[in-house]
Amino acid sequence: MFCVCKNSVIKAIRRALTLAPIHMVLVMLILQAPQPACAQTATDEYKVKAAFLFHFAQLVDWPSDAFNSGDQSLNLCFFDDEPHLQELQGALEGKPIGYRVVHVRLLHPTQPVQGCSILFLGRDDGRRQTASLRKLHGQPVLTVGESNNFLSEGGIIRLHLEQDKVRFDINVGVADSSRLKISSRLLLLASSVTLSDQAKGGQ
Amino acid sequence: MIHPRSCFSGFFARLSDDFTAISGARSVLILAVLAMIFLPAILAHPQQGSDSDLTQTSLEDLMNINVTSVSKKKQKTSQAPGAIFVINQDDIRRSGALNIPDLLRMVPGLDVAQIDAGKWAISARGFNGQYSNKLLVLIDGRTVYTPIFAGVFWDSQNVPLDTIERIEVIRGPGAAVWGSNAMNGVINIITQNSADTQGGYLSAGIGNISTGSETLRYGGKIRGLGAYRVYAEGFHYDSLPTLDGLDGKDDWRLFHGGFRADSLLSAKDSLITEGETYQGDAGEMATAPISLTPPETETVALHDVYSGWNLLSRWSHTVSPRSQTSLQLYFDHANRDDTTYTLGLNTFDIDFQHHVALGTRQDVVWGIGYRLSSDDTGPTLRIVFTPQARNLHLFSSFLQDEITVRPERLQLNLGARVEHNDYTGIGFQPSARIVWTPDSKNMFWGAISGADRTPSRSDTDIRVNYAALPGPGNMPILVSLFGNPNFKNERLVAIEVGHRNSWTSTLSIDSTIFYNRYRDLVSVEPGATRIETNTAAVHLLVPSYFSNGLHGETHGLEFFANWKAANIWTLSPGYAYFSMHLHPFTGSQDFTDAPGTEGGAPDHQAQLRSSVTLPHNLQWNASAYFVNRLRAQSIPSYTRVDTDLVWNAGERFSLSVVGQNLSKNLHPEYAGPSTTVQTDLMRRSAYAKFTWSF
Repeated sequence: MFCVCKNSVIKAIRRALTLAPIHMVLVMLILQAPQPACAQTATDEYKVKAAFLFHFAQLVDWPSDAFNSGDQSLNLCFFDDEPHLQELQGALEGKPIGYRVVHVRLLHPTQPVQGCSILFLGRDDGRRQTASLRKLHGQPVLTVGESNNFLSEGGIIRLHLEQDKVRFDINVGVADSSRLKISSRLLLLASSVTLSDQAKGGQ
Repeated sequence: MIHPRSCFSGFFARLSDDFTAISGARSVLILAVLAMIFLPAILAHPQQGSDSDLTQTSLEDLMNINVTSVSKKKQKTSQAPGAIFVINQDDIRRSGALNIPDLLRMVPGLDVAQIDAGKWAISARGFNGQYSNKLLVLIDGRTVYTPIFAGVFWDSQNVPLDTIERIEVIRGPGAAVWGSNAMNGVINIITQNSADTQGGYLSAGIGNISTGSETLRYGGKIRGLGAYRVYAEGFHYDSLPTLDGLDGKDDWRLFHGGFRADSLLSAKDSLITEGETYQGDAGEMATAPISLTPPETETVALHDVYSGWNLLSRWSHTVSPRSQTSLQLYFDHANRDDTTYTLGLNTFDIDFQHHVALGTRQDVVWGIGYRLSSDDTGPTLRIVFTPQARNLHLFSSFLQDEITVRPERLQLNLGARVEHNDYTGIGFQPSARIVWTPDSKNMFWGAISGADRTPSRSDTDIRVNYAALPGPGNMPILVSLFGNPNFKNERLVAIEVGHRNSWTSTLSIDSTIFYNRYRDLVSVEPGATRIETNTAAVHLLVPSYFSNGLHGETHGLEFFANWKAANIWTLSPGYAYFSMHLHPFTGSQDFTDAPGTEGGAPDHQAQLRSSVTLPHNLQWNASAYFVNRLRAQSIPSYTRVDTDLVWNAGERFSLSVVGQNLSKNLHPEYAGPSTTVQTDLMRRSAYAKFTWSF
């Protein structure tokens, strides 16, 4: 047995804990949390988002010059430090879309974005998003992102969660200036549709 | 000097020898294992797989699916240019590893050697030992090293592998960010957000060495706040044989349980609270003085008993999209003893960090921290600390600035950490790093860093009575090692250069070269023999003292690649070369420690991992690790072969069968000098594991 407990450490801890009663509340909440809260099974967010990406690819038309002639692949780009890469890549690699096949391309965080039909930007890196969207402005690349300011910075489709369900917004203005045609079915399902190409002013 | 070419060919010859050996008698075992798994899989009805393929679900239906929401902040370290290796969940699932040390074997350049059933020597870039003190290990931001010897008790630190999000291993100094102890590397273990571990989970395994391991976990939601999980894990490892073929009496048991809660307090505030309690014991054989009268010194079976608990909370606040703060505090209590020592330790730590973007070109992280370590030790005939109990205060602050010199081309990272500790006062540990990305496929980086290893209790306050011997005229002799109250920091200046390349989307290559210069490294200096009278039996004392009598250089190369050879097949080769030269300072009389340390790390390590996705939801993984001999310890080189087959029977069940150490039964991996326990032999082993999510 040790008499360490009598010294100042414990006092310091007590003080720290009383300073942060929220932690204690949390611990109590955990112990008493209602059990059936998750009776409804939940699916991994990014597996569902991967399926959304697949549908977007099906419901968007690229201009004919967007692909190299003879190239059968539809390049879906992620940055290689994307935290949910496994889920996204696993669900999409090799999936047929029309007469093309989805090919997942990994981009190095510092490399310029090129050769992508679709670019997915996770919610974490604001600076990279700004730079990538500015660079892709006007190019036939379907940009899909998650951050709050994704559409206002010139992105085309923004995914977000509403009470644990996936929703999306579309900026048709940017899609138009990128010469992408978005099917009306997708527009009908979107939570909101923005018409203006606000990104023009932002350069 | 060693010619790399000859070593390479020697290595490959050895490797192929081993593989031919496998194809002999040993293949029977492997085939039996494989047959055991394949048979049920082949007999089983092929899994449809469509239930998990959400792309076949209509958009309208997708919009009605409840998802587990995750809000993960990328760790800055994973983006940092440096000698970084990340073990992710997929690697863990495919590794067949049962514990964290086994998992770490896949990190190229890390030296992982098992001593007995529950003890490991783990280090990066040399200086390996049971009490390795130049590597920092963190679990979710909590430092798990003990200030007694500045190393890690691996037997009491475990995280259920199924709840690990990733392990980041940084080779080379991280002291400018992480502080003293992060001298030769940092291992950062990060557990999953509790939103990712919802529902129930049970796993149970059984094998010939890991004779039983069970994990039970449950995750749920906290109304309106977030998610939580609670878990418990218990396991037992059977004892291993000694070099003489006797029972090593080193069986290892650990039982631990804990919780983690992730909550969003507001759109801008999140809080993580987690805690764990553990209890375990491990046997060992050690040579220790038991009495000053005959029989004085004996090899005895000791029984280490340890327990503890810890609680951590971290509050992250977003001030603006360009500015985030976090405040973390934790408390950790640990107890351990066998009959030759007792140790109690309380640690309280508080850390504040602020991450802010300045202008368009600078990204700054700064922080301040304080840690109180309070220990109490019990004096025994073998180990005495003077003073017996001690409070140690550590104050720290750091600043890192990422400066974009040319956007997307050239970046400069400058940083430094200032610390104050009770032993050596103020220390300054700077680093400068430059990153050049000439094109989309290449990244070059170079760094120069200073790092200190500050003294621990065992450097300054310890007395270890190694052996008692019968002496002349009935006067016993006691051989003792003493700490040195004037022990200085061990200091390092490291130069590293690295290159990362993604030639194609299927092949990436990472290589690092380093040159380290150490000063004031620990040495053991002989003292004057004298008669000691302060114990019951008057005896002759043969003392030696810790001092800072050595300096030296190390250099090496670390390489790994990841090659997706086919859609279903990934190959990951790795290789590390290491060389060390130590010299005594003028006046030092340490002529034994330098060769012991130099010859205690393998000069060549190589590995090849293969992962194949098979039909019927099967995955087959195999890895071979070659470790060259440890010449100071008469440990011959060995190649370790592990393989496992995982069958995912639908979404909820999985079954895996693992074989470890298949190529070389009964080989030692580490035998001191920096260990106090008897080396045991690694056995060929197999186990099966079943998991159920509900």
